Amino acid sequence: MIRLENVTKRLLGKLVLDEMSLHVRRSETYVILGPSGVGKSVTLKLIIGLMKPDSGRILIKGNDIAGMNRRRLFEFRRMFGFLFQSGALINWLNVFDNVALPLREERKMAEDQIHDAVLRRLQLVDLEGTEEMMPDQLSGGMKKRVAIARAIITNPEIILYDEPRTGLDPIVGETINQLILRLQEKLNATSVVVTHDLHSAFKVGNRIGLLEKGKIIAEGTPDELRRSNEPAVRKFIDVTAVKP
Amino acid sequence: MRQEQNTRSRAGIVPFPGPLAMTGRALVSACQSAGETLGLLAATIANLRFLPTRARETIDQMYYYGVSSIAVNSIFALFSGMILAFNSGLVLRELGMSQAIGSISAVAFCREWGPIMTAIILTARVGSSMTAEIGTMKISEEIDALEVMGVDPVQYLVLPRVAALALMTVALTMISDFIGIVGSALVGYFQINVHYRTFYNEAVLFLRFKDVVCGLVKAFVFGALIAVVSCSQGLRTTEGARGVGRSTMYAVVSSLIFIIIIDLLITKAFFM
Repeated sequence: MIRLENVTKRLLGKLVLDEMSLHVRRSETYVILGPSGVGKSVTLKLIIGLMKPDSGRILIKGNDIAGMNRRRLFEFRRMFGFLFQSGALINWLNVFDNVALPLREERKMAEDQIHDAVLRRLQLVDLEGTEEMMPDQLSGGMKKRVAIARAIITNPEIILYDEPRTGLDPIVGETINQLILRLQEKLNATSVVVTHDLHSAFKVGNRIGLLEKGKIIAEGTPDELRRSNEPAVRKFIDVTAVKP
Repeated sequence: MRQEQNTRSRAGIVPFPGPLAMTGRALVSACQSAGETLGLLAATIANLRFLPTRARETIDQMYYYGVSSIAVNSIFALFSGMILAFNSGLVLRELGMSQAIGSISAVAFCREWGPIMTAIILTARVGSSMTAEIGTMKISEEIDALEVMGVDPVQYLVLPRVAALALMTVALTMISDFIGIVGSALVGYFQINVHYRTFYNEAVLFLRFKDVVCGLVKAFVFGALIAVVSCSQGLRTTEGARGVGRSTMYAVVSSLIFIIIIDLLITKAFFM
């Protein structure tokens, strides 16, 4: 479904991704795990075409996203849902209008159908009754859930989550994990989650890739990674596990 | 010397660039900025066919930026008209040509003063606000969010703002012209002893249709220009709150420079 082949990316002269390769299968949740600043978010932005690689190919369902022109890219992105770290809700639109925005921009559905679809998605993320609220009236967890509702409103084939638990307390963070699992079950979409949170990675991922020094240095199911004796994997797991 | 420089750079002290390097950097940055602004202008023109589908956003912007500027614009126009009448009227009275105050005010306002004054007010009031708004959206990933939803920011954000500001600058200029001329007439009547009727007759006698059209064309171009420059600077914003401040300052300065250059070019095109 998603394939990165020898992708290299430099930012401000610094090598972020170094001939990185990655394969995400259809309908699985793949977690890119790694400490902050190793290029996890950059990888997501490359997958969705917000950045272009310096070299290498990024294939989405066999299409090279780096070679697409702007208009084709806008059409192609409609198969994606993307959860930003900050939620990135449009600040002058209320919750309803934020979630409805992708559908209104597609111009394929009537307003009453959009209304029903938005309410269904808000129900799915447990936010019924918040339609009229503005983004600055929402808590961090609510913003993330509204952003998730907006990301899934078009029934995307691929959902990308950028640090879904960042900035949330453990209880709200756990709710987001449960939500990702619930969406996976209901929508059967292919998901890529980037996180530095080991607990979250083990909870939501079907497979996990550990990103370090610009490459995926280890890959496997949560159980395989837990049992791994690779020094880099052990170091990351042990260091993260002792955190309070 | 080299050893000292190495020590300074190891200590994290960045050497202060020389005047040549600073000028060079400023020139490169200015060219880059002008290129991106022109690119955005071209993209906006290419998207003009989508304007009817953005009617709601355009009307919202017209109200938000245009209607709310009427009061400040009118106050400015009234006092500018009075100042113009005072300065020109006192000289004209000494020359025994007081009645010419009507023609001078009408031509000056319609051809030049109305559009440029409106453009300066809108640059300060609206352009800066537009840059700050879009710049904040850029650093909070809202622009990226639009892109990943398949929504073209040029169509969704830039096009309605450019259309709204171009139209509202024309409307505000017409209001400014009228109020400014009324201000001149008041000073003419109460301070220079020129009767309203004389003022009006002189104004009508000398004011040509071409003067009015020239002023309104300028207003349209200035409005579009302010919006394109402001959006372009907003979309280039990086580095958080400080970056928003910097973009806003660049937007205001660039808009004012572009306005004055284009004013000259349009005036030349109409009258030479």
